[in-house]
Amino acid sequence: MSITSDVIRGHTEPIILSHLIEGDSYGYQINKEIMEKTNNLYELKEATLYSAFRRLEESGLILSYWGDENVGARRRYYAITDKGRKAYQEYKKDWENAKDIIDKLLNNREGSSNE
Amino acid sequence: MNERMRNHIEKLFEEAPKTRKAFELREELLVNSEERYQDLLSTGVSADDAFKHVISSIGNVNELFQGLVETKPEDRAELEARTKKIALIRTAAVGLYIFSVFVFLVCAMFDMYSRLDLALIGMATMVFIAIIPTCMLVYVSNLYPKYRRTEDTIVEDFKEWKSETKKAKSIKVAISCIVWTSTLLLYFAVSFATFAWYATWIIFIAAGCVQAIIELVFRLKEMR
Repeated sequence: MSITSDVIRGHTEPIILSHLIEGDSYGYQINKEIMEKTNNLYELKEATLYSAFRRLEESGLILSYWGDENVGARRRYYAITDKGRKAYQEYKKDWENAKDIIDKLLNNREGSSNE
Repeated sequence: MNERMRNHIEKLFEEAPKTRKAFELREELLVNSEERYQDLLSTGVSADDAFKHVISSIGNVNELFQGLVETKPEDRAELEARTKKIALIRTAAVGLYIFSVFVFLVCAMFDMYSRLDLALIGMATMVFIAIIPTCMLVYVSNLYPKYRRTEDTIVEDFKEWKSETKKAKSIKVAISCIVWTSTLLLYFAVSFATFAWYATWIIFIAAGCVQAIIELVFRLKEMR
């Protein structure tokens, strides 16, 4: 599990981008959706999530705004930019390539011993 | 808002730099943690367990704070330096105004002992001296730099609006200053010229009207 979370943590930023492509969202909602999609197997630490938000915002891939909830506590929403969409597409291509390569490399050994 | 959680998060942020970014981050964390906490309660988790779960899922906040330190302090230092400069210029301007009136009063006092028309000379000197602080105040009103937008969001809109309001306000203060100085000058000028001291005070009421009109013009401008 610890290797899995390390691998996943390395992909925090594209995971956020892919959630924002579906619409503007805020920290807890994104984390909740991650938990739902992974059947509660994986969740991001808030600190990891927010530092990813800051990095994405600084490089112009997302932007943030405060919601207008009428009662005191306001949520901070994030929206993806065009630059963010492009970055996401590129990232996805890279990931597909890397996945192919890793699959091939791992299958050579594992595949033969399993058969 | 759960008090225990608020206290915990506020404690976490005691170490954080005191910047707007840090403050916003704290608010964000508070709101999201509260929502998570409520969600846990609604699924039947006990308050204590929910609290523990929320706290543990925050993780290490120190990595967050590092990003907050780098950019902000110089911004703040610059802002502080500018605020100091503005305060200094304003103080000097007020001092000069008072000095100009003082010069006039001294001249007026010795007027009767001299063959020269010292009152008139004093008046001229006062107007001359008053030009300097007026220029200073106008200069100060331009010291607020116009806020440059970086992103097209509501937050940026608000920041720009705030910055413009502040600038408009300082211009308004400068104009008011000029109005009241001129009023004072006019009052003495007319009074000494006509010696109708019993009536000349009306000038101040007129100045009040002018002030109200200025206020109105600024309000109308804001509304547009």
